[in-house]
Amino acid sequence: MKRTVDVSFPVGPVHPCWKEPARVKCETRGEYVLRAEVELGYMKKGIERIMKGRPWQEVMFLAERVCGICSVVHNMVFIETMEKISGIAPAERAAYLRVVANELDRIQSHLLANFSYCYTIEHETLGMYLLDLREKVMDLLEKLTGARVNKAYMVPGGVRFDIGEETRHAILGSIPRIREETKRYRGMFSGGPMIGLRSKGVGILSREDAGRCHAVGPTARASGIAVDCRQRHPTYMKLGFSPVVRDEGDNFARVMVRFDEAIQSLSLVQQCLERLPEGPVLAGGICRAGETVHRGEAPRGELSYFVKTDEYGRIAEISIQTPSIMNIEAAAHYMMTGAVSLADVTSIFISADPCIACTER
Amino acid sequence: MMDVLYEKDLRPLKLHILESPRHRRTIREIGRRLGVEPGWLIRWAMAHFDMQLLENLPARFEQGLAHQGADDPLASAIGAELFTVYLPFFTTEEMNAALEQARERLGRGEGMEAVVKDTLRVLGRGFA
Amino acid sequence: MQRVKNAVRSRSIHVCVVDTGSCNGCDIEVLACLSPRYDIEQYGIYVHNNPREADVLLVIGAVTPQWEDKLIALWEKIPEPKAAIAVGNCPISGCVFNRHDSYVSAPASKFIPIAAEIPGCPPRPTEILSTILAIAPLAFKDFERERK
Repeated sequence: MKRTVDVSFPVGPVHPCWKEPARVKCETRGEYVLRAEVELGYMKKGIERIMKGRPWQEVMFLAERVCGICSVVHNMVFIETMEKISGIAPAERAAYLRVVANELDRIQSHLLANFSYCYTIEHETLGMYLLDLREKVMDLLEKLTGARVNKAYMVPGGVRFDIGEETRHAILGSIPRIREETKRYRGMFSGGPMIGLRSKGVGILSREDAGRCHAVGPTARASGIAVDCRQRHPTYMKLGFSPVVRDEGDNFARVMVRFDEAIQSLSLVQQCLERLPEGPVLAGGICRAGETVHRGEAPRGELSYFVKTDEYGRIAEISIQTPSIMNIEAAAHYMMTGAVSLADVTSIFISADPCIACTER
Repeated sequence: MMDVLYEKDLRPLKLHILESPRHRRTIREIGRRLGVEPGWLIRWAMAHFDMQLLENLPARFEQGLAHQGADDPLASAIGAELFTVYLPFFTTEEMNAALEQARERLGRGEGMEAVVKDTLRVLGRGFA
Repeated sequence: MQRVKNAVRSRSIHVCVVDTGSCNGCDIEVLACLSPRYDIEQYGIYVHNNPREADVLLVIGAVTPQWEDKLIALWEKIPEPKAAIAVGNCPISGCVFNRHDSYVSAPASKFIPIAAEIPGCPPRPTEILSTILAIAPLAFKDFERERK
C-alpha cells in the first residue's frame, strides 16, 4: 500500500549492527518514528517444504538447522514431538542431560543477545566481556555434546551419548566462575548510567500490546507476562522452576531478564548434574503415525512444532512456529511506534533478540 | 531518473509465507467466518499487511480467539476485537458501523445467528 | 611502492559479512571470531559490515531469492582489490537446503567470483580466521602491477 510520509527511512538489509539481513522501513516525522514495517524474504529457505515427505531421521537434522543459535532446543522440541506422537518415554538420565544441554544453550544464546545489545548501544567493553564468557559456555557445550553449533545431541528415547564423570565434574567445576562473572556483568549493566540512559524507557512494550501480538519469551516476561513453557515440562517441574518476570517492558528490562535467566539456568544445570540419576541414556521405541502440537521454551520464547507423521515415521505435514516471529512483530509494530529517535530503532530491534533465520525458516 | 535501491516486488515472497500449512488453515478459517474465498483474502492481505504481520497471522488469530471478551455476546460472535485489533482486516470505524447496524437489527427482534452471519458477509464483501 | 602496499594490505583487512540465507550458525561463528579468545582484531582484521570500505566479503548462506540481485549489487559496491570467501557448506553447495522444493539457488559462485571456500557446518572460528589471513596476502598481492 502506498502512503505519503515525511521520510521513509529504510534500515538494512546489510547493517553494521545486525548480524542477519532484514529490512525495517520506518516512517518518520522528524526524528519521531510513526510506524515501522518489516521486509523479509532474505532468509526464506523453505525448510518446511524440504521436511515434508522425509523420514524423521533426516528431518531431525533439518530441524536443527532452522536456527544455528538455538539449535539444541529445535532438536529437543522436534524429538519430543516425535516422542509424544509415538508414545516413547525418554530415559530418566537422558531427560536430565537434555535439560543440561538446553540450559547451556540458553545461557550462550542469552549472552550472545546481550552482547549484541551492548554492541548496538556502542558499549563494546561489556559486549566483549560477554562474548568471552559465552566462549566459556560454548566450551562446556562442546564437552557435553561434541560440537559447537549443530549438535544433534538428542534422539527419540534419549540422548546420543552419556556424559562422562570427568565431563560432569568439569562442567560443575566451572559453573561457579561463570555465575560469578555473569553477576558481575549484570551489575555493570544495571549500574551503568550511560547504559541506563540509552535503555531505560526506550522501546516500551505494554502488557496489552504484548498480548495482542502474542509476544513470548524474555520479551513478554519483561512486560509482565509470566509465560514460560518450562513450567509445564516434566523434568523442569521436578527441578522447581519458576519464570523470571519484570514489568518495565523497556529495552533495559529485556536485557536484565536475559541476565537473570542466564543465572537461573546455571543453577538448573548445577541441580541437574548434581542429582543426575544412574541408568541408560537411551530407551527403545518406534516412531509411529500421528499428529500433534508440541511446545517448548526456546531461549527466545515459545517454540511450537505441528507435526503429522505417517506409519513409517515420515513427516507428512509440518509447521514450525518460532518465537522470533512474534517478538520481531512486537518490536516492529509496537516498540518502534513512537520511538523518539531514529537512533533507537536498531537498539529496539536488537533488544527483542531477533533471529531472522528462525522467522523465515 | 533515479532507481529505487533494493525495492523489489514482494508479492511472490509474501505468497511463500502464506503457503505454510498453518497459514493456509488460518486463512481458510478466517475466510469461512467472513464468507470470503481464501484467494481474495490472501490477495487483500498481501496488499495491505507487511511480511512480519503475515508471518504472525496464525499466532495472532489464536491469541484473538483466546481473548474474546464475554461481556458483549454480539461483538465476540462477530469478532469485533479479533478482526480489528488482533487481525487488522478492518478499521475500528468500519467495525463499529457494522456493529451499530447489527444491534439495530437485533433490536428489531431478528435472530442472533442470522444477524452475525449477515454482518460478517457484509464486512467480507470489501475483499472481493 | 607496491611492496609497501602489499605489506599494508596483508595486515589491514576490512571484512563485510553478508548472510544470504543460512541457519545463522555460521554467522555466530564469525561473530565468535570477534571474542577476546580468538581476537580477530589482533591480526588486523576489522569486521565492519560496510561493503563500501571492505576488502573481503564473507558470504554465508545458500543464496535466497531476495539476494540473487542484491548479492551482485553488493559485490559491485566493494572497492578493488577485493576477494570473496564462502563460509560454510551453504554457499559452496547449498548444504541441507539444496533440495527439491526449496527456495535457495546455491552455490554462491553462480553470482559472484569466490576466492576461497571454508567447508563445515559450521566451520570453527579458527578456520575462518586462518582462511582470511591466508587469502588476503594472496588475493591482494601486486594488485596494481598486475592490473597494468
